[in-house]
Amino acid sequence: MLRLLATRVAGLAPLLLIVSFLTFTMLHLVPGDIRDIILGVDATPEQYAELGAKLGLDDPFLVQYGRWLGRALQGDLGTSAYNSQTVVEAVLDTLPVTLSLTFGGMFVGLVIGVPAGVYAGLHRGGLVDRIAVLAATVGQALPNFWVAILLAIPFALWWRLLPATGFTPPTESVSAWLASIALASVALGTSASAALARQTRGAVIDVLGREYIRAARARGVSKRAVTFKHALKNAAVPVVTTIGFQVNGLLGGALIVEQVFGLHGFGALAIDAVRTQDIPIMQGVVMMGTVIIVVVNIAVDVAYGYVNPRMRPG
Amino acid sequence: MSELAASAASPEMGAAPLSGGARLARAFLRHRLAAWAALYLLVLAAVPLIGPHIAPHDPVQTDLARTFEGPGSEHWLGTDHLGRSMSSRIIAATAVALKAAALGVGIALVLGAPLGLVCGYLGGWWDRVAMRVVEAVIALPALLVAIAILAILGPSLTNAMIALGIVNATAFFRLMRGTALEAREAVYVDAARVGGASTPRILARHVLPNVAGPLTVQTTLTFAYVLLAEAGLSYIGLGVQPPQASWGVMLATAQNYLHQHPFMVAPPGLLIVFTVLAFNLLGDGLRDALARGEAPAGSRRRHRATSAPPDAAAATAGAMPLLRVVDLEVRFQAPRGGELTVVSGVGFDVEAGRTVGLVGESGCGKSVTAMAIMGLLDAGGQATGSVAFGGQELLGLPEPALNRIRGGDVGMIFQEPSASLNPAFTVKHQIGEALRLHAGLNRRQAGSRAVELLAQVGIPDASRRADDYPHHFSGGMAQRAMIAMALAGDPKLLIADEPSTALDVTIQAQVLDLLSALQEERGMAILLITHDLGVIADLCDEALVMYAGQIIERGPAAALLTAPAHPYTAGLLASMPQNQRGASLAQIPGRVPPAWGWPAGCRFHPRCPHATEACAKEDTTLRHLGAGRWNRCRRIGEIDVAEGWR
Repeated sequence: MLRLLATRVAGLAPLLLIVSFLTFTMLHLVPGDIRDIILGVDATPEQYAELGAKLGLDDPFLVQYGRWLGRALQGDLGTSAYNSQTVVEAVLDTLPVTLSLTFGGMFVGLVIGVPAGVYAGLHRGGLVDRIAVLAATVGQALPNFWVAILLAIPFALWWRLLPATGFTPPTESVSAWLASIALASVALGTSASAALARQTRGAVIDVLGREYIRAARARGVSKRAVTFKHALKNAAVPVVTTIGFQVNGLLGGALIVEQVFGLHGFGALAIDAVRTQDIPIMQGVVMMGTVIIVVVNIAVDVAYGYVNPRMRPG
Repeated sequence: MSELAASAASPEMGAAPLSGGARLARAFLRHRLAAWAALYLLVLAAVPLIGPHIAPHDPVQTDLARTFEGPGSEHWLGTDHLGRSMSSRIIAATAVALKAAALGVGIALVLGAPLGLVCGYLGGWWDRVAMRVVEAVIALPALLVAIAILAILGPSLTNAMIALGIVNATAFFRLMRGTALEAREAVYVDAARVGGASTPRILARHVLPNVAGPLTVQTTLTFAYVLLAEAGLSYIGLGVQPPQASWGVMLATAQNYLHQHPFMVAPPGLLIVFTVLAFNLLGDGLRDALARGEAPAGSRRRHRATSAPPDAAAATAGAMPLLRVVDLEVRFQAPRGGELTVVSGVGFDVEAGRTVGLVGESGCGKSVTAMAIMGLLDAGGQATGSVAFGGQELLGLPEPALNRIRGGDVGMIFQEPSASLNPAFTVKHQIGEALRLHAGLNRRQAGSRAVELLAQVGIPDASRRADDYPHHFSGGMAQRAMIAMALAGDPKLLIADEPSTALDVTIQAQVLDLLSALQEERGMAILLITHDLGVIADLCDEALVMYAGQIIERGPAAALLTAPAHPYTAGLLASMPQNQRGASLAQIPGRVPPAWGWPAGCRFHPRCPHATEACAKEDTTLRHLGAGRWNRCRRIGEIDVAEGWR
């Protein structure tokens, strides 16, 4: 298992390098001059030249990238073009909200989606199956933020069971933290659970039709044991893959859903960065978002190696 | 949604053959939900065109005297905080959303598809670089990247769509690349190239028709994604800019007045849900219709009582053999009601220690017969008649008792050894499982016994290989492991369903040799299912020839093969490669009819060179000819069965 982990992590270095290059290039294409944003419109030509030299704006593109990468590797992603906050600070400030929502949504998705999918797959064609398929189809069409608003109306506004806005870090109070992310997590979890339920159901049905299931039955393994031992472990393979895909969607959903509850996460940071054309912040958010996705995918790969022996190296 | 497709049966027998397009359309229309979705989307698509004319009010016209009106006769959906008509705003928003989504999907398509096509077709260095970049882009947080692109271009709807288009282009790239790659490998493209067709022509003629379907599906699903993302971006203020109406903007506005006017969140939200749902359903329906259009399968037919009388085999009196099958009939639930009989009136005995071969072309019901004996028919299958093993009736036996017999006294091996081993467990574990169930061994004993069994079936270095997973085993090794597994319960009867068919020729012989050696050693009986008469000749004492769900000839293997009494058996013999001596290989024309297309009379008559009018009318019976031989052909004695196959 350690070897698998090592291979995956080693394989990530070139990926992150490409991602960093793409991010850097992309944000370098901004029309206009970053100095206009930092200095404002009244700056003198001397100030312009001075800042240009300081930021190395006259260097060739690759030199600029190299310098940026070198600093990034040391944990320095620059300073916000808008205020004096460092990018790393700004990103770390907002990280807890985004992580809480992304994983909260994942948790809800797994807890609802996987059991529903397994049950539906095992009882294919039954009433529960049909309801599950219908619910999953509708669930995938629901915009997360609309679900969040709909949940907020009764739970936060009418009954005041949960806070309508604001984030409490788990370090302060775990119960208050859970209350502050509950509605957002459920909202995010609806589409994730729909996708997971569909995937799981399909995987269970597919595996149950496999030859090795019949072969196991032919050597006298009971139906129950075949289902819970032989079928589910194999059905887990595509489901685990789906989890990897879901992270990307959940992270994106979290950006928008946090706005419903006035939580200050990557969404708020990115929206401000768009409004102020704060390129360093945008670079930092994109890089950090990539790291989250990539790290989850490593975890998924390791889990994948566990459920699927074919993926183990050697 | 696939089960919806499964319930939609393909054209009935006798229907006029349909062209590909018409069949696709029919398959699609059977998919009622998808058809409704398409209708809804058609109506919606008219909104951008006629919307401005049917909207009763100007969507941005404010009227501060009439804010927050509830739904009424003038404003069907009421007014918002500025007194703007919600219904007019919804219509305007729908038009905006659809136009925007079309732009986003268009950009994704134009950006991704041609690049994918070229990279997939050219391959090599360009392809590798492009794939690396695509992998990196997929690892990027999609919506964050879209927002980053908006940071560069500035927040606006068009820019948001450019951003979403870029983010979604990878899906089209990968789809096109995959198809082009496949087409490039395919022989027919090579042939076209040899024929002198230019590259663009090859792409246009061979790749595009293949990819058109999947591309349509992907486009539909991308529409759904882009609509959702556009609503989200507009909601957080990075897409459509107020006062212009959009679903996302309307929801953002509604949220400000959630306390007082919660109704305002309903109309835009529901429209998003319905529209995204419609696109998803349409995509699913198209995908299913395409899959069915390519492979029309599983038709239906009302169950017709088969008048075939039971085989008289059971009449042979005497001591009860190890396995006695009498008048076995297997029916399956047809997808849309009715039943389909796939095996009828099958009867035979297997004596202890003997080998009986069951032979026939694929689709004759051989494997179904085996599965019926094991009680392992697929869902919806039902067996009637009698299967007695060691005097005990197996049909209708409760599961726990059956589980003791399966893998215990009756072992089974399958055609695809690699598919029959569970990829998630080691070989040792799987053999051990059978030993724990049937030999009452604990985990450790089972492990060491499993290694012994593996050594017995000729796996070199068995103690080490036992801990391997099935994917480390070659096909021949996997079949040996399957045999070891079947031996775990020390079976009296081994059912071998095409045990060597999927293996290389040299390995085939090894596996068959192993089977006969084991049989000699253990004195077990074998029911061998095969389509290869050579295997019957080598291994079997008795042979049963099946055709279209019936036994059509039965007798001692040697006698039956040297002097076949049924034209079908003779045809099978004539088409054996070993039989050609300079002469061209004979072939039985046509193919085995599917269970819903069995002809009346002798089921073989449409393919038989000796068929007469009577053969087409009167049902056949399996008659005893003496010397243990049975035959179903009515014209026996009148004809030279070998005639007509040369």
